[in-house]
Amino acid sequence: MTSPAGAFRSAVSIRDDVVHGRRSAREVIEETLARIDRLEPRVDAFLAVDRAGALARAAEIDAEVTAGRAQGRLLGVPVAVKDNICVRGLPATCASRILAGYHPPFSAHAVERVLAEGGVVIGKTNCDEFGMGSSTENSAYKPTRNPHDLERVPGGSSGGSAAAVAAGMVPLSLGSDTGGSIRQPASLCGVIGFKPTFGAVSRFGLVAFASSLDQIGPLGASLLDVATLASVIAGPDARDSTALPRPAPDFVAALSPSLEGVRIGVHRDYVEDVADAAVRALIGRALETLREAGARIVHLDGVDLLSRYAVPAYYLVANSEASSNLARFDGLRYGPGAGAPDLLSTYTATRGRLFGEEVKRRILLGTFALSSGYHDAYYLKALRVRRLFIEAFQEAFRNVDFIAGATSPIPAFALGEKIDDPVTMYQCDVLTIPASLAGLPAVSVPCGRTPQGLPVGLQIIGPALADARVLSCAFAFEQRSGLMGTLAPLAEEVA
Amino acid sequence: MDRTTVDWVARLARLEIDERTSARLAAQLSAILEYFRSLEQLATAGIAPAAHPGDLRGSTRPDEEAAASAAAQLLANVPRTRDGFIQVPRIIE
Amino acid sequence: MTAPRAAPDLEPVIGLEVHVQLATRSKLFCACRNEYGAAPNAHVCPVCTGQPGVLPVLNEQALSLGLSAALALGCEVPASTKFDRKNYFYPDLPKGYQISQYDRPLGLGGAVELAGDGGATRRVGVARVHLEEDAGKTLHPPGENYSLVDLNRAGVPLLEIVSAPDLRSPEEAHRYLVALKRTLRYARVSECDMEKGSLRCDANVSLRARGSSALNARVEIKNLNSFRNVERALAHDIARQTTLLAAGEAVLQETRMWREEEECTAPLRSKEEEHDYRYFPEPDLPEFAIPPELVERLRAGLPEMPAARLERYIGRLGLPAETAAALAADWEVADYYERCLAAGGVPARAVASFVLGAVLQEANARHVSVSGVNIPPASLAEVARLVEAGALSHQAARKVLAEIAASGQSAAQAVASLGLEQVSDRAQLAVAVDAALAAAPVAVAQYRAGKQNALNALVGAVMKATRGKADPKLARQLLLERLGA
Repeated sequence: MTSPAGAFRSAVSIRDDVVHGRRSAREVIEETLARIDRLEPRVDAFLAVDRAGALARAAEIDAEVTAGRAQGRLLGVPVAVKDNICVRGLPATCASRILAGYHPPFSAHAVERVLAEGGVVIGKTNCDEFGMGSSTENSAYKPTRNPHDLERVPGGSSGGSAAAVAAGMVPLSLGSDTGGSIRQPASLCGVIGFKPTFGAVSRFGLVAFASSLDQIGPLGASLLDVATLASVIAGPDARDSTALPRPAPDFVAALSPSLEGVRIGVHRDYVEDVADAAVRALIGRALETLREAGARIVHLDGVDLLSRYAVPAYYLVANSEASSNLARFDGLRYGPGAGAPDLLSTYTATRGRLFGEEVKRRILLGTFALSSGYHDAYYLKALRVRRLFIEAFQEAFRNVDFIAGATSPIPAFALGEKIDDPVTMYQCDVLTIPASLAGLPAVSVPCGRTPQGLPVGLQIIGPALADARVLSCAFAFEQRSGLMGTLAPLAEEVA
Repeated sequence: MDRTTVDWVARLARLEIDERTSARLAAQLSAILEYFRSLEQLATAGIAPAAHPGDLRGSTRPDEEAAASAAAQLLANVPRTRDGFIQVPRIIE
Repeated sequence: MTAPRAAPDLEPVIGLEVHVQLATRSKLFCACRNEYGAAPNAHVCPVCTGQPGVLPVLNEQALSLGLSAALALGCEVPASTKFDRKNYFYPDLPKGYQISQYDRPLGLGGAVELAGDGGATRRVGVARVHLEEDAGKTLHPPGENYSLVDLNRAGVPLLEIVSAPDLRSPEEAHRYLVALKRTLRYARVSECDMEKGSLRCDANVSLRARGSSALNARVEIKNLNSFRNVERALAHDIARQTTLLAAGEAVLQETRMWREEEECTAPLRSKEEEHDYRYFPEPDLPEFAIPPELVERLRAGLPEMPAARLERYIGRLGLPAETAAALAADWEVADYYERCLAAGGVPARAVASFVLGAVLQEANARHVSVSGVNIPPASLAEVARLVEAGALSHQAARKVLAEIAASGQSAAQAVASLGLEQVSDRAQLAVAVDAALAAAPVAVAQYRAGKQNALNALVGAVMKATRGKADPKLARQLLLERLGA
């Protein structure tokens, strides 16, 4: 086990320092803002930085500490929040022009939980517009750059949240994952990203892309930090009917470095058949590490995990829901709107001009898939295929505790490389989508870098509700990988 | 998906799309749908559609009014208001 | 177009879609107040204005009321239900979709019984009952280039009740609506007040050759703001369709608006009909179980329905059919009546006449429902007893009831303050007694001949002479004394 690299300050250590008065929250936030000032011009991870709000909150926390009342699992910890998650008082644009200037009158459940534990929202991070994309290039405002290679994408859609952590600007961030939007950018940026079981975290305050797939989850540079934030945000919420009713277990307490007796399933779709040779090699080594930690590797090649159908099934389900979820953006009640003489042209002009190309493409696809005459062949067919995914995983998990393999079939690609080819771009999610369709918990944890220095993530998928075990398995891997707290080299330049 | 279909769907979705974009989208969406046709290989007769990933059961809330509403704040986000109403372009009758 | 009905060889096939707002405190999916007539956009929140990031949470009372209505209409209630999204754009629909129910409604296969001629009843099928959210209201100020939206109504729980195409005449459609409204009001699920929009109705009508099952095109009629207009619009459109068919022309399948001022239906612009609702399961709401215990509790909680009540009033209380029907027509009237009876010792018929007379007059005069009339059932019962005892005339009783309603006094106080208290002074009453005896020699003779009933006639004469103010017991005693008994 190696010690954390120079620039890395874990959330847990920041919190301990603040609780015990070794550092003030103000110092922490000022240092965070200073790092953002230095790095942000190169990375473009943020759409908004709440300098004044964060400092004011730090002052409140320091007063609490002085008064001896300070508590909270995230006391003084700066947290970046993806721009499709509402924070009262801050803009929520979802990286779309259609929500320019929109200030939600409430905070998301997950944000409320972070604030209740003493966390400090430092700003809103860039993403693909409404979470639709795998590179953050679909942001209406700017692309975010991968801190490991500024000419490459950070992945997406939570690219800003992953890049902010990888660049050491914040120890923790919140993202959202619909078909891989936390895990894939985590993999491409060399950080940890966790998508909980569907319903484990309330979606209240998350601007919906695809309601039956969206989940909020944490990104960070250490498993302990990620498990801490996951514990904070998970749990029931009466405002989300799809949130699980039971209280979430303490993910931190469940972390164990041992994998004795654990059966890890491997399937060629996630290992041997992965496109990129360097990724294949690193995943092979990661599986070896898991075996060394005591896990038994079980080959699942007799089970068809249906991965080749993942992208079509997912894009039909997600975009059908999206076409409906995005109908509310009409410029009449919020957002800039496009002035037009009559109602119909106000609708079409607002939506036609202020939505980006990929969003429009998906709305059209989803509208088509739900329309009469095509509903059964596309939408309903995809829902039936989704059932097959759920059953395939259930079958696989009869014999194994986890399925491990690659998060992304390729490492970070160049900015502009795939943006004009939607079908190729959609392929980026082929290994993250299946867990999304089945609502399963899955984590991406760094497992090394390619010869070009590009990070690669190991994905660990567990059965529904096995969130604590998934995090613990990743923790055991992290303990052995020696990669805990490894940030992009860029981060060390301003250490 | 041909241009006519794209235009029809765009009308349903209230998206203004110019001719050039319509042609490009028709080509892209056709390619995407062609790719999605692979689902046809999968036999799904008798398989129940899964609208949700799990077996969630809905929970209800008691019939109680919330104390304060954010009406003022919500109206502040509305581009045009008049006498407390939301003003919209005239709906042609 | 003068023919009021279909030509003899054609028969109309009519179905009605009725929407009623459920009488909940809060909206269907958020905690905003469900209230009619508030200032515009006073009862709105992030959920019912469709802000990004919000989610619906089902109001349990709305579900219960919807199920109660389904049960009251005799529907099959499923073991679970789900919601679906109906997608369309309109400024009064903040999310761009309405949360409704598509293929698994709260109730299927119920019926409404219509009382027919000569006691026969006719069963009109209720195809389905489903729960959905109401839209907001849109105003179109004349001469302006804008419309105005008020979202107070957006998200109010709405029950859609779809009849089977069983109705055969506009008049029958009218009777169906009356019976449906009565049942829904009895089940306490809705006020069903068309003026306040808590009951709305669309009609479908097509014609077919009598005896045939092949229908011509179906016409949907909207903008029907009273039961009378439903009847008139149907009659008008049946005549219109008949004329078309008689001329060998086709009836277009279309949606038409009832234009009240012109008394005709006119087609909606075809553009507004271009709909493809793209229904799909609401992903923000899982399925809802409807446990058998809940169904049983709701079924047990339903009050006695109008038909049963009518039967009891006639059979057990011996009320004339017309009186019984008038009382049972509205649950508030019927309940008020039964609370009067519960006060005890009063005859059913007499109370019925006061309820249908003085009490309803009072309600109408003050534009309130019976429950808003300030005459406690116990007071009405007391007045009825006084009348029964001969202590008050009917005329005096009306004055007393009006006084009670106006002043909030008890029956005794009202009698006293109106100076209608009984005359119990022997000397004062003796004058009236002597006058009665002198004026009725025949009755006196009959009594002396052993006809006890004749005494009652004499007491009545005394009461009449004193305008009901005489103490009947004392009058009787004085009469007996004078008759030498």
